[in-house]
Amino acid sequence: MDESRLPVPLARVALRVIPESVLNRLTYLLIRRMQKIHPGLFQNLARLDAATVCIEPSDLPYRFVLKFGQGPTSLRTAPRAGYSCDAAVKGKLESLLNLLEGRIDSDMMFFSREIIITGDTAVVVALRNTLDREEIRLLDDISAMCGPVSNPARKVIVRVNKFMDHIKTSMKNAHERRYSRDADETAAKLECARLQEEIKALKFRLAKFEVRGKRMDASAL
Amino acid sequence: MRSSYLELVCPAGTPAALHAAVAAGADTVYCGFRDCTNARNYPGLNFDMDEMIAGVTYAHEHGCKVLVTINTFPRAGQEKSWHQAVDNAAIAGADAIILADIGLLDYATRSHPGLRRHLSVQASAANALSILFYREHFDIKRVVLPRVLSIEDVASLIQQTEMETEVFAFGSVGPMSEGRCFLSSYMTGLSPTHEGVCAPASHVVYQDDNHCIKSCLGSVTLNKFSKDEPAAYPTPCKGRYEANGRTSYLFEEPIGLNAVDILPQLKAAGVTALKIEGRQRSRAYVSKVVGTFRKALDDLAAGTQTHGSGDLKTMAEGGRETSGAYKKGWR
Repeated sequence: MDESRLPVPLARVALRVIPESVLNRLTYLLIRRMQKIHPGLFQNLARLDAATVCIEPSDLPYRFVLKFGQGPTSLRTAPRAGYSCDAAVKGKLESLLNLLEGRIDSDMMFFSREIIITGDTAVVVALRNTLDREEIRLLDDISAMCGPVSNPARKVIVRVNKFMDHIKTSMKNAHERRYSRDADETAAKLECARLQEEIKALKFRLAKFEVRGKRMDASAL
Repeated sequence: MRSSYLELVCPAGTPAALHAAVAAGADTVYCGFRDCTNARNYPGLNFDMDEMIAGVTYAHEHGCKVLVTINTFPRAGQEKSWHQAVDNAAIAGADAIILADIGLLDYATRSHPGLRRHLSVQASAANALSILFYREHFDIKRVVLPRVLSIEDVASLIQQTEMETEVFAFGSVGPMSEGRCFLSSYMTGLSPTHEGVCAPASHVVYQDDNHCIKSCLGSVTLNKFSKDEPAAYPTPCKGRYEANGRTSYLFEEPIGLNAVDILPQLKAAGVTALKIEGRQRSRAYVSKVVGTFRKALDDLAAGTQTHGSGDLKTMAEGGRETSGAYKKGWR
């Protein structure tokens, strides 16, 4: 596991269970923290034309609305339908996080249809280019929100993720064992059926021999 | 002029991409200013003056050269912006400038005679007479050859002109006369040679139609990609058009150029430098492609076989690769 990455399964669970009002407060604090860590990023975002982009993780029940350009940058949640944006970027949460951190080429993700872009393409291109100028490590930025306990917080995140990984691996192994046992049982049943067929054939042949023997005995008499 | 070493020339659309290119093993990076003086004028991309100075300093500290691309054609009455770009490249300490316009070449020759000049692919100099003209009048030191030449053509040109040549090794395949896409001008009303983009993002629209993606440039629908079909750039030359009752890629299919498997032939032809295209791509792309070519070139220098092409397929447009005109020539 790459410990410099925000654990996606943990993030997905957290984003599903944290109440929306709390989540919006946390994203507000995260943006404020990121403004201190990445001042260049926010200066570059402020240079862009004002725009609203919907970030739509396909594995979450809501989407994020990012506002930037010609004013303060903000990020908040919004329902999946009924909100108009200048542009939208859709994809799995993991793909979108990779995009944010510049770990994977966005054009490649576009070619392979991992992400889908709609609306004003110029807005998305400007945002992508601006984000790509900056080295963003979301795990570091989220940990930094915890102030003096950022290091222990980071360790907790990594540890919880390892625990989740462990549970996931255990469940996977149990699943495989269960199905491999099923497979063993199926093979035994098949072997049993094959042997039963063979016994039946042998019984038939034996019966034929017995009949033939009786006929031979009768003709000898 | 003929070197046994193939120089790896890599794209940098942002300072972060420049750092990535240097870290991945670029010999040289090329970049442009944040305006329409270069052919990758996308929003949020390119370098302001401070970033250019810092980028050149960083590259030089790491033994890497920097070329500044000023390869669009000045608009009448607005030459000052282009002249300013040439002056700024000189101030920033660039190792060379890449130019296409004759007037700008003349300005650079007169104003900064000591600043090395390369002829951009946008000049479309694809024959010996043309290249020699530029050398004679503007003392160009290197020509970037258009992507319409076979390896034999490249070798012949090098023999005839005895010029340093830079050829495209990875990027797109475009059937147009380099830098002069009249289809794009027709569809958008903007000129690629002046504005610096062949598919301006402001005119590109993607529509998600029940898992089918429709790409449009201006009011023209260029393509429709069904579910699971790789998507492509919204460029007019890669559009799927209907003609004579049949829908097909009339000009060129969405496919990427990759010359990693023909490096020995390019070297034997006398090529000086290999150009990786993609200033508009991310730093992740730069790291991956430059790293792959660095390894291939090191293998070539060591006399071992190169096996790099498969690694880059996903980076190529449409997820497919070709050696383009190098092997098949041009239609």
